Amino acid sequence: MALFARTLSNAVSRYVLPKYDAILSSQLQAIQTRSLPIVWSSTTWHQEFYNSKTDLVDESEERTKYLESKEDFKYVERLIPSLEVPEPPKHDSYPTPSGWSPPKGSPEGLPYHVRRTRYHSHPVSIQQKHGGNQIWTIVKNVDGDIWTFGNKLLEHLEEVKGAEVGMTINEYAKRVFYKGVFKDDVIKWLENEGF
Amino acid sequence: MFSRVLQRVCRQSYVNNQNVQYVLPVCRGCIASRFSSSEVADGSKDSATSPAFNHGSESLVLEREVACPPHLQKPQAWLESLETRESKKLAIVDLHPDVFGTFPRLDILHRNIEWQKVYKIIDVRKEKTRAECSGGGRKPWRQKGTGRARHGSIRSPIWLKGGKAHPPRGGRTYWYVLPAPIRAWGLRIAMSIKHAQDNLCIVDSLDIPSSDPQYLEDIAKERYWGESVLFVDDKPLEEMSENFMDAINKIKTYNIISTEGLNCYSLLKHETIVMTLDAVNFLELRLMFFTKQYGSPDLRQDLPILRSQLKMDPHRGRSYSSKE
Repeated sequence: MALFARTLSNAVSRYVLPKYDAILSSQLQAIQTRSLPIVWSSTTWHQEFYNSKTDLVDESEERTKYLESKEDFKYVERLIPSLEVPEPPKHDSYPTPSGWSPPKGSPEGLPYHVRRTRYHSHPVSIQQKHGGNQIWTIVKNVDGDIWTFGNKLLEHLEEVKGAEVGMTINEYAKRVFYKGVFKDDVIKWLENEGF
Repeated sequence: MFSRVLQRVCRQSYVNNQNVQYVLPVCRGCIASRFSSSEVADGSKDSATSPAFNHGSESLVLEREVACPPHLQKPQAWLESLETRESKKLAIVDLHPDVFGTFPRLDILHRNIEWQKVYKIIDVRKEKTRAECSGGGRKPWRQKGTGRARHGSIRSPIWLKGGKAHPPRGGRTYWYVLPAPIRAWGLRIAMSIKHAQDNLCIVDSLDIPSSDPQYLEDIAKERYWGESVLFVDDKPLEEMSENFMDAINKIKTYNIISTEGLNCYSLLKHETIVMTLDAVNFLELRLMFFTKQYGSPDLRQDLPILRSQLKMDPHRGRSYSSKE
């Protein structure tokens, strides 16, 4: 117990504010000299320390000064996650193991262009309605001449299917809808075009 | 139907959607009449990339990095000055095609303006329910035997002068918050329309030599700005130049707004928008941010927290450490 009290007083005197050091060490001395074993309950300890406020807090004494430093905030700043979707890292070879490759660049003079999504993927999706009875493949972000694009891709998809494919073009929203499930075919075709 | 709408709203450039070779945003036939005080030679209408100016050895195109996909044509605008009454063209400025040349989605613009009109409404109409009408506590006649319909109270909703079944009850709000990406998109559309219709003027700064309001009116007349002008700067209102504020305060239809308060309604209400280059720089970054940010809500809340609590603004180049 005496050893514990001594190590505690050493620890306390090193890290606690200087003006409380004398008071604490005197209290610890008083505890050390007691013959009965002490139950270190939190209530006993805090009652002895904080109840007698007038002894501990001396308003006339100058408060300890402190310096505010923003030096170490840079370690926090670098942990803040990026707000925008980052550019993908450069790989040695494409396609990557997951099948992704960056846009090759379409030839100049092409009347249309299909932009990638913010996550650097192709803007192709499947829409299902009426419990799956109606399935459409949607291509979005089509800049330029959307009709030429739509008809060209339609030709390719009809070849793939071997039959007619329904198409709807929404010029205003820059989207093309194809009736059926053609997501993989469309993505391959877009990659060949260089988008 | 849409093509008719588009022709009314914007120039032919939008129909073919950014693949058309156009450089200057104005109707080519109108250059000479529009900017009568400029020094453009008539023969330079088609070769807009190398216009014939008497600017000596200074380069005309302002070097400005615009991070946009390479297949898009960058719209361009004149950089002007308000320091002299005569129109003085300092340089040509490249603009971001998704901010000043985006497809004019009128439905998105409509959503923005409807939201601005509606979200502030508090409807204080109040009407009485059957409990609040005076009387009507007693059963008017006995249940059976009179030959008349059975009723419990003379103030029920089916009675004349009775209470209303589901009345308006005082404070009803029409408040809702339009998602930030839709609001940013609306601003991009409004600014693209203004630029296409030749109602956008970019200036280096809003400093004027005198606080005489007549000076600003002369400038507007010289440059064909029209009746109402909205000045946009990136500073808060307290930091704007006093000369300018004194002049603006005396003219009812000329208004100034900070980029913080920029909104679709004001952009459409005023005929001409005069924007500083600082405002253009900031708006390009901030408005394009919403097209690139993550979709999940927990990541989307980081920007407002950074701005409000840490005073970090990534689009004004203000990080926490540099604020010291």
